[in-house]
Amino acid sequence: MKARLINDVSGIINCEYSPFEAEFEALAEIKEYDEYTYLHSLNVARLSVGLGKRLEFNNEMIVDLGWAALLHDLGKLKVPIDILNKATKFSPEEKAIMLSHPLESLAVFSELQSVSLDRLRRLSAAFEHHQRFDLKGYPIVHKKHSIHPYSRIVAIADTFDAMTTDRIYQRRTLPDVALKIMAQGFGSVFDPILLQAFITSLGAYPVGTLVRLNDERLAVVMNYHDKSELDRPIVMGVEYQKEIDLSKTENKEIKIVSSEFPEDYDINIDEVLESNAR
Amino acid sequence: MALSLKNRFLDFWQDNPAISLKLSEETVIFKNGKTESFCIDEWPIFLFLKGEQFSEIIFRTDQARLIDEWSQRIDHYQQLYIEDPEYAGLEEREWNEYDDGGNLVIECKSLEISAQKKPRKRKMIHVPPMEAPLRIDPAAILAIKKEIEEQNTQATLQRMISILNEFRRDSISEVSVKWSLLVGDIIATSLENGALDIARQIAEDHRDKLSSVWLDTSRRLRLLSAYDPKANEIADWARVFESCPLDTLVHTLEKNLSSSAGPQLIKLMSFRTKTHTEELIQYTLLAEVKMQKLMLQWLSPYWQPKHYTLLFKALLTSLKNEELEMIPLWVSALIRSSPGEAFSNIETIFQTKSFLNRLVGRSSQFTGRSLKSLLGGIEENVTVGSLSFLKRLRPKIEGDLADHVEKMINSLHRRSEK
Repeated sequence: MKARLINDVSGIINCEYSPFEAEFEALAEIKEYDEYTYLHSLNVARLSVGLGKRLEFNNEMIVDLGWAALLHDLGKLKVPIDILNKATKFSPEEKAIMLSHPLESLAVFSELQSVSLDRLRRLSAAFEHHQRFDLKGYPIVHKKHSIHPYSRIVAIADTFDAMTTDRIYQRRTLPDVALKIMAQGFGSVFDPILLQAFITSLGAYPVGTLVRLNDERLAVVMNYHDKSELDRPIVMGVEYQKEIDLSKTENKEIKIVSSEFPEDYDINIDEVLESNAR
Repeated sequence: MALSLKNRFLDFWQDNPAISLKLSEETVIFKNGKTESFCIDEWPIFLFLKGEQFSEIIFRTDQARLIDEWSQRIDHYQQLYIEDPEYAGLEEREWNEYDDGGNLVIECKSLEISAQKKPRKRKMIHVPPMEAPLRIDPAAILAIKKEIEEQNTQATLQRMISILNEFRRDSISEVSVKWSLLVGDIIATSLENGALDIARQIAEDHRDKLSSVWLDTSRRLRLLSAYDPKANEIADWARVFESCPLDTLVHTLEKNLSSSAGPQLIKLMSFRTKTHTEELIQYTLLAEVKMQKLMLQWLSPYWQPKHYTLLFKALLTSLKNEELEMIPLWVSALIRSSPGEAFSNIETIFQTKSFLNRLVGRSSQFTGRSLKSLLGGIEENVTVGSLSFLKRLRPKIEGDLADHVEKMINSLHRRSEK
């Protein structure tokens, strides 16, 4: 398992094993406990690091941010599995247990390894990622202080990944819709600058989104280039495998009208992207 | 993409009463029969409803109150979803609106999609690249990077203080080993980074949580060696260790005097002796011999007449148990406590050998060793009364002991002549 863990993490951040042995151990605990939470943590880390790289963080910041994201749900180790995976309404007691997971994160880590100043900094997101930018989230803090920038980034990535993931009781939200819904939280739930950077760097329709054009054609968003408008990416027609750069003048009449679920049309987005990459 | 500024659906509806909104087609059918397109991006609650897999909203009422209540409720659900998308869907949510008579007046029609039946399974899904143009003011990006760089030690530790205080208020979490260890680690981190005030504050605020820390050897030593206080800092620094049981401290001192925590252990014990003298005296008198040997040296400046009876009892116990190494130490303590009484009692012991024999129940050989030990104690604690005591004693003893006393007298004479 250790080899897989190192492989998964090295795909996200560039760090040696031994200085972060305790962090790897904590992540292994998450993987052992709940595969879903582990995969979610990897995704949140990818998104967080992706944003950090776009903001040109240095490597040390990227590594710290990556670990903050990887361990942001560490406290869920103390939430019973049947509550974690529940598909029906929480009882008040269950809800209280679930809401306590940010508070438990630091304590869980200290069970594994002594904490140091660097680790405390990396673990801030574990405690803060549900607090909201305006500090009206949880855990409630009575003495107000600004949330660490890593926590603000992780909060955005965490929300996006959670929204765009299927659940047993609910279908996922499509990425473009998720971004628009998240935009309602500018300055309240989310840091406005970081959220704007997240949205604009993904594009209004993130790469891989299946979209319907105004001429009824289905297309997959393939890319944005540095002259692309936010909602005018390069798309690939599904039926006729032809690339259309919506930012070009000759394509100005073509518009994206909506996004669609690929599975409703038996389309495998990964295959489309991979074949285009070849 | 138009990021919506329109939140008050009611204002729009009162000007343009509609009977149906088709969310996927983004069309609205008005009461007058007209059909128009609308931009769903401009209506957050409809965008949210579309995301929740609703296809159409049907209005069967003119009542502004009902429309308003419904739109505010949907907006509230959206807020909950933004805050916690993973579990917001588990809450009971009433999407429709009913009038006072229980009639359905606003209906949210779902798309007919079967719910995912299999247990929640997840694979590493495609995480989209983030390469679209950033369009952010470079100054704003710089400000964020600067904020990260300026997250200094104090900021990080203050954050931890907030976390610990919130934990204390949290009614679900109980004091437990892991929280104790965390508090200890944060205190140690504070000390290692020179933040003595913060360390002291945390230790005082959470003193009831440190019990497990004191039992954890590595963490205990980390705390002790984390900071070497200056003379004017010792009082504040010692307060970090206020809740450490005395027994734990003494055992740590005994085992780790030559470790990196040694100098700090000495400082702490000196301070604790000064501020908790009676507690240490009581502890020492009841402790095992090896601890007594360690502690008596710390207590030597603090003996008073009120301790005499207990000290003499301790001496008699050592005599009885053949604890020859302890005898000089008790004698030293007795002399410091009440010299006149000490010399008088010791003289009695020398004069009444039968008393000593009855006490120890042993041979004269042992008695001789014990008496020599007593003399050893006097030799190590020369006071004003020492010479006169020895002179009084000399005629009453014979043999090796007498020779020894003679030498002691001569030595004291030489010393006084210098």
